[in-house]
Amino acid sequence: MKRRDFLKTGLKIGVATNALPVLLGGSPVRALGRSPLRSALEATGSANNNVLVIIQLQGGNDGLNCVVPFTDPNYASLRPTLGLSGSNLTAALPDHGTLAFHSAMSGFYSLYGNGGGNGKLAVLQNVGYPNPILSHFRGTDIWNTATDSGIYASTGWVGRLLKVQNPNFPPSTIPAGSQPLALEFGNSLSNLFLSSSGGMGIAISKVPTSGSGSTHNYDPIPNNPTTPYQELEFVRTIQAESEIYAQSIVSRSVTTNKVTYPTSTLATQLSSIAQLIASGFSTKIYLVTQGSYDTHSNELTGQGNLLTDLSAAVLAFQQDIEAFGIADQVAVLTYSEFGRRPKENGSGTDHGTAAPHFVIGTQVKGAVYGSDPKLDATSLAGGNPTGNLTYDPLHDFRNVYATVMNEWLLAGGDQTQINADIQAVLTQDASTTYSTNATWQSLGIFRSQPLQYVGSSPDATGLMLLPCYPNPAYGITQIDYALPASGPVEIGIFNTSGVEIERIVDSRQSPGPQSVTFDASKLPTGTYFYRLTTASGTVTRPMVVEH
Amino acid sequence: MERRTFITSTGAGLLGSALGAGSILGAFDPSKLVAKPSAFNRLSANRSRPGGGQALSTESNDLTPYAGPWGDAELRHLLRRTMFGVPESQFLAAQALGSMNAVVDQLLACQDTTKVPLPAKLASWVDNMPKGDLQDPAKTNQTRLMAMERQQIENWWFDQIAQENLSIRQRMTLLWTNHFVTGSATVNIPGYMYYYLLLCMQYALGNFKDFASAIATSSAMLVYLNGDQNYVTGKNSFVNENFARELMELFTLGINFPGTDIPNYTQADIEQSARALTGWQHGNYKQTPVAPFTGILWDGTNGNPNWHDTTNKTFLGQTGNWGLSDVIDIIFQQPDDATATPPGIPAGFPAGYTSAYWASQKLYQEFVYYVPNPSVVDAMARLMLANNFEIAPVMQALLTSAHFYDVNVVGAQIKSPVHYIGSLIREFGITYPAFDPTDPPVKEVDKNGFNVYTDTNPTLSIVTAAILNVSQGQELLNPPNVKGWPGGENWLSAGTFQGRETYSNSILNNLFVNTKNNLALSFSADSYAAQIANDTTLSAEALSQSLEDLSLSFTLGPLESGDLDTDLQGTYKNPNYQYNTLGVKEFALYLTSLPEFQLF
Repeated sequence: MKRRDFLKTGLKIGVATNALPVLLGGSPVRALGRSPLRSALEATGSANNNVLVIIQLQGGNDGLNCVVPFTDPNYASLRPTLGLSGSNLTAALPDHGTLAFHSAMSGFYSLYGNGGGNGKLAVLQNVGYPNPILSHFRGTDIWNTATDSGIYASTGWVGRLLKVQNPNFPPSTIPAGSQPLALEFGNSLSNLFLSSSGGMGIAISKVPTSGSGSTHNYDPIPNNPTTPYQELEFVRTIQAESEIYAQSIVSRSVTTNKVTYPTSTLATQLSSIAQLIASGFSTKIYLVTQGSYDTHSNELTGQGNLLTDLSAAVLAFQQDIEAFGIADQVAVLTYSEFGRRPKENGSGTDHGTAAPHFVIGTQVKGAVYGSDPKLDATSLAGGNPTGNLTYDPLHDFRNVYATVMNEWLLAGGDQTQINADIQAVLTQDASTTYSTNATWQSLGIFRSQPLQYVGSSPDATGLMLLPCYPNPAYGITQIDYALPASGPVEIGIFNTSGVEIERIVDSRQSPGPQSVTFDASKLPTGTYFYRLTTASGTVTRPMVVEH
Repeated sequence: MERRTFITSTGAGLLGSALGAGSILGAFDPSKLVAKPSAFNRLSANRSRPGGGQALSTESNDLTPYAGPWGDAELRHLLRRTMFGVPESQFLAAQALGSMNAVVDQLLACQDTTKVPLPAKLASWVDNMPKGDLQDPAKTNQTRLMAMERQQIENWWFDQIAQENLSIRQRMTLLWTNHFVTGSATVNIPGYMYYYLLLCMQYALGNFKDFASAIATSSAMLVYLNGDQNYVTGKNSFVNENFARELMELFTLGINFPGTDIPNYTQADIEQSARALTGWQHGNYKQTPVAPFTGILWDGTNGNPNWHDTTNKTFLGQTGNWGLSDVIDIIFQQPDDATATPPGIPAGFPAGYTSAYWASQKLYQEFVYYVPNPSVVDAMARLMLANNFEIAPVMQALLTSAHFYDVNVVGAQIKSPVHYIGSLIREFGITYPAFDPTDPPVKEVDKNGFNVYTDTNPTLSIVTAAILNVSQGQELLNPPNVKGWPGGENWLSAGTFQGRETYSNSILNNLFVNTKNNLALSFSADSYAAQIANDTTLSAEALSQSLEDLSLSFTLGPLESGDLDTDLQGTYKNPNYQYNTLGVKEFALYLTSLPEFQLF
């Protein structure tokens, strides 16, 4: 963790009693100076100005040929034709020698850096869900609507989240100068953006070059309208959106990028998104779609070309937003309706289940999270359906969404409210149940997590010990803490019998934020505690180790 | 407005009550179904949002025949729903036919291709298309050639759409290319797409089961869903599940039994049927047609017995050495009480119900409303079964049903891009140079010695490119994925709406020119108005009303109709001429900008 990051997140606490806590909590310092942005944030009810850019890898991306377990002999035997090795791979990940990326993903490799929590790219392994569906369309609906595989919903998790944050949306008339809550590049609005109030975002196929701010003199829709008049109302709403939002986009303040993007549709769309974010748009969520990853045949060429575009476009986007100085408010998330079958079918692969996904950004603690996919015959035979990968329950895709909400989109707000909002989005709201599961995990992959005070009188002492992340820990986990004064510091790891297993800090330290990492892989699975002891007080927290 | 009352006369009050539902539906009680939201049902029941999104509940929720008045409004509704916009001349021709049944018979006459022949063959090149390696840069010329041929097929088809007479054929054809989906960008061999398109025209109102068989072995489908890469050689198995899955999920069954969460098939059924489908090869235009391919629209498809898996397969409860025809037969027997597939559904559904329901649902969504009404679809499915999967009787009953003419139906559909542009061209009298059937390419050699292929129909290319690019992403013969365009409210977004406005403005302002800088698409305000009357003594209000009737399914209120009247009178109002050319153009621009023009 970089020192300035901690200072920023620490500031959230400092301003928590400010007159505008909802606005300011979690915002980087420099955002405070932007009055248009502040007003925009007030309008959207956001706790911060963090932005999420979602990239849908449409068609079912073959995760095994993305994040390649190239040292696993089962991989090569399952894929005599498609198996990647040698120059078809990047170098092994510096902190994870059993994995390498597809050679087309050199951009991702550079974003990964040295990993270990210090890179900008997190790999979440074995993302999936119970009773997986191998249909493109039902699978996509499950990911977009974020339901258990046997539950059907018409709203998307992003739409529901935006509705929770903006309960009065849509307004009866859209004010001139408005910016959309969410924006998708595409011809029709994804159900990802639907709420019980209809579309919470807009879809455009490209950035418009002109707006048409015409005024309309329309007869009212009748009371208790018949279906045709309901549809007419829909068309009028779309017309208003097309005119007002398009005009806002046309008149954005930033119309050029800081870096040159590659020539692909995805890159062009990401470059437009960078401009909108740099222009101070209050839009929280962007969606772009790339595909088709449905590589039943000719996968080496087809997926390779797509990954080249993906990797290069995301790298350019990241460099661009860093050059703009807005990178700390942006994170990128990928998803796809399923992974593909480990065993090849010839020149391609058929539909499968779990797959790795990526979270990218300067505020992401880049590392590999989770274990390598299990490709041995016994594991595959036990897959559902048989022959497929088994997902990691910790990496249920809803936990990824919960993490994105808890640690990013809602970060800085009141934790009780955040928990309630996540429940409403992922478990159930007033009208619909989305999952029988009521417990979601925050995976600890973002730096700027909401901070929590611990101890009896934290304001007096300024002593903080944060939850380690990831928690549960399986490899390297990080412990952040802060000291009110200089002096001797001890941090020890204890088992449930109270026996200290390891002393990981034993030194004199300066006041302010501090951080230490611990390799949990050497501990057996189980519950442990870590204890911070200083002259100002002692704080203890639990840590779960899972393998 | 008092003078505009025609639609409200199509009142639901004219309809009888929903009669005999129990006896018609047998063991199936659609009222007990739990409707599941899906892509077309974009929005929930919450009415705080604009838009529809729920199944229509009308007075008649079955196929009870329509017995209300048969007036202009009803006739226009029928024609709008079965064609791509209705020129006044065709409305008048249909009016002259008299009764509803006579018009419907005319619209469906294309079911007999001897009576309403298929279009003449596009060109000879569709038969001798070389199978090129499009990845090879040395074949750039061939790539250009193929792109030109692909464009030519789109142009040819759009010309068929724009010039269509009183017939449902092209609407059905577009529906089927959006059901049995293939895509020209993936298939990459234009001749295959031509024959596939012709197949969809031939079976437009044909037999759904036979259609499924024919499509399964069309070269375009074999390429698009990798059926041609699904094979076994000796001990090596290269079973590719792509086609087998979509055959059941999207083409013939659907994931779940109607109204339930009970899966119609399992992953094992996909794997087993994929094995049964091994060995098919798409055509290479060099083989001689052999039985059973002689006598049908042959595009070169063949099976290679050496690549077919001849071991037993267990598919939907039945075991045997199955091949394609067996797979189709077994699918079209579902649900099957004898084998209890799929397990868990109540007994008593007729064999074949699942596929009949699936096809009927698609028909309903296309011709009535994008959210299916389970009760009406059930009645359609049973009628289709009674007619051994024939499509025409179902369409005949649907288009003459009370449900179809309900006040909740008229005007409730959103135009697709093709429909939007079709209605612009056909209703506003847009003209363009006749389609040139010259075999492409017209090859010229440029100064660098490279072959240059010239578009022989640049005007139509502007139209078909507009459908894709200018406005709305519906490239003919190239849906976004194997599920096709989702339709309904998905047609309109902030981006596509702006594209439509841009397009209609450009076309009515005569801004489209072809590559030789000649006017490509031509709008004449005088010709547009002359569809109604050459009589310049016609009052502006009467002309305005007639032109609104021509294009809109809605009765406009005083604000909108008042603005239109003002536009039409124009700023140069002449006591002898109640309207003028400039006014007519302003009128047309305003009419097409109305949200009502997006609906039909």
